[in-house]
Amino acid sequence: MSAQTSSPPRRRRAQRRLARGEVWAAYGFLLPNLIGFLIFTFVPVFAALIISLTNWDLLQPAKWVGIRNYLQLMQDPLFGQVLRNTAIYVVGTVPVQMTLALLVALALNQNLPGKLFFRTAFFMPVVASTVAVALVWRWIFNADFGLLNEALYALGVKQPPHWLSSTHWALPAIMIMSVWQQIGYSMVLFLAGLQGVPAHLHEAARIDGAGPVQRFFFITIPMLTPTTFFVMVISVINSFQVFDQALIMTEGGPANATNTIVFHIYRNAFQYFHMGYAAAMAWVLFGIIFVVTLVQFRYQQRWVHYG
Amino acid sequence: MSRIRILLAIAAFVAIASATAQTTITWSFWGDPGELPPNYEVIKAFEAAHPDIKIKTEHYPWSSYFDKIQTEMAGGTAPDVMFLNQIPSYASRGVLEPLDSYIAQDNFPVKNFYSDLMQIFSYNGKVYGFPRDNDTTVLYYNKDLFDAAGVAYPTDQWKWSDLEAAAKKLTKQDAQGRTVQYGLALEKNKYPLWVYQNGGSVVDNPLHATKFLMDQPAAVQAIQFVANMILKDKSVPSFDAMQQLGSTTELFSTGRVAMVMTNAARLPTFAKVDFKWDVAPLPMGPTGIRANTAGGAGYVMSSTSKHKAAAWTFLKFLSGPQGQAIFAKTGLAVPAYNSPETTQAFVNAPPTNVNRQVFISETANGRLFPVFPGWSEIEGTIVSPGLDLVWNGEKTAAEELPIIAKQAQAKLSQ
Repeated sequence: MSAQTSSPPRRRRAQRRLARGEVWAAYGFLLPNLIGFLIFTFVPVFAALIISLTNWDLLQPAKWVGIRNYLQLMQDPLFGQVLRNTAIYVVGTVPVQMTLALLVALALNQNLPGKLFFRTAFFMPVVASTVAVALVWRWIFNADFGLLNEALYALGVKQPPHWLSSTHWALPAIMIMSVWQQIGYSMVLFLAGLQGVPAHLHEAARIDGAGPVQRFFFITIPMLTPTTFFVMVISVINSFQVFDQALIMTEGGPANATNTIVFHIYRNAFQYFHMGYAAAMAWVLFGIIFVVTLVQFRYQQRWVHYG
Repeated sequence: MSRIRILLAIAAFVAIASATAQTTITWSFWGDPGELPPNYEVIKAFEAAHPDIKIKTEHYPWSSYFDKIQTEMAGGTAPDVMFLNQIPSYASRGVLEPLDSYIAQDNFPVKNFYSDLMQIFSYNGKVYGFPRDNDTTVLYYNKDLFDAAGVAYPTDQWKWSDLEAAAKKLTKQDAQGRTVQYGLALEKNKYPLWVYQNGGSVVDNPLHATKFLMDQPAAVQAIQFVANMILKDKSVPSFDAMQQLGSTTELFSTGRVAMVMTNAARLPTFAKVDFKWDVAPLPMGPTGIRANTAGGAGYVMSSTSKHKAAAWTFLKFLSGPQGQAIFAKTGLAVPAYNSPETTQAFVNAPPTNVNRQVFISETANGRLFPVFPGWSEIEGTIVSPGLDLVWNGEKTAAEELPIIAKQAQAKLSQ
């Protein structure tokens, strides 16, 4: 604030006092959220770290076991499988979901008739309950009478996959449903980003003779990178935590083909009485997400343009 | 005036005395809304007989019941009396009260419970609770569909081959080879029944397993027999398809399957259908072995209860002849308390045009499913996922069961 340096000393003091008051006010406004964060996130997360170093089974007093749970994790073939499933899920859904969401956002950013209707329609899956959505999708994936296989039959596919009962197709099936479910959320963010692209840039480019394709690649895409970055970080974090789709669609089956890290954590904690082991898994998941997010932040300056 | 004052004083005294003498204990259970009325009837009858004890209920749906109860156990605030299953898992962790001294003191008639069932409620030689009912499985059949297909009704002499042949005849397919009416629908978690009926075992001792035995020929054959009905005959819906088509209850009551194997809890739903049906015993295995389920949930006391005497008084009422008779007369479950009164109450319950005696005779064939601590993890992470591959035809029983057995054995030996 260069204006401040020219103001007389008395006013500066008053402003400083005000600033101090504002700081307290800011903390005051933050407090409710902060308390919630401390009690429901910060404390449990660190409690989980301690629990992960014990053999707590929920019911008996915990015994300290050091890093045994973490060593055991490295030898647990099922943990390897749920890691792999989750990684495939993240890598498979995030790019597809983001690309489709961007395309939908671009389409709905035009002055189409029924624009509002379509925006609502695409956002609907986000607010619909996963349980209800999964029930519908289970029917879509039904091997004999499902909509999807009927369509594949019509296209001449002789033996369409038995989606949810096949170890090869169950995970892709869940990924397809998740993409459909998540497009709306990313679409809304992209729409907001698109509307923040200044019209004068497009205008200037048009005057300079840039076509729509050039304008898209050299104006829209670069101006949208902060939004893209945000959508990517959020989508990756959410995808690593995939749980309810696996629980409701397939219960992790068949043969653990759709078992994910969080589903495995839930089962160990509440069904098999291995709270300590589950906490260790939760911390490994936290570590993975932390590193992946850190890498994304580290490399953002290479492609994200702010302003 | 003074008389009124004295009366008032006496009234106040009595009120205070009775208020302080009354103990409140908590009782938790799960159940659909339809299953709850007998619970409240038991409370009414109990509180009438014991005005000094008041029962507070904690009711949660099945899906969240165990998370809640375990959290309460961890916090030392578990309900005094709980409806629970997997008793050994909890007993081994010290959260349940051993009941032997209470039983001895009151001469509680433990011998009236089916002895197999009592074993599940014991751990290391101590009794931790009493079963409420047995999960007896019977063969329900749709008489109209049998008549339409010209197939003779199931008898108590049926063997697997009769079941398989009838199921095939009762299956209808459309032009594309998709099944539109199934012969038989099964429940996934009842696979041990087939193993037992074929003379095999899941583990050497269901209460304290040291060996996993499903790689033995009898078990392998049994699992493949079921898989063939699903995959080859297509007379049985796959367990995965049933998640969309509906459970055994829904498939049967809508006439889309001619036979289902399930328990007595379906009786009230089936009582409302507009076709004729009845129940028959489960078919015998190829060599004539009969086997049914021995298992079910029951009542236990928390080891952290602050009112153990009152909790025992209630537990005794709940599990004894009076409580059991209230549950038995709803006819929803075969009483675990085997007395002429409870059996009669169950047999006389509506719907009465059904051969309810089958439930009683089949209960006598009950065999324990594995219940030792740690089994739910072995089943959930190894056995069920492995069997999935047999049910969906990616592997045969002979290929997959040795793999399952190797992993399960490794866990058992730990």
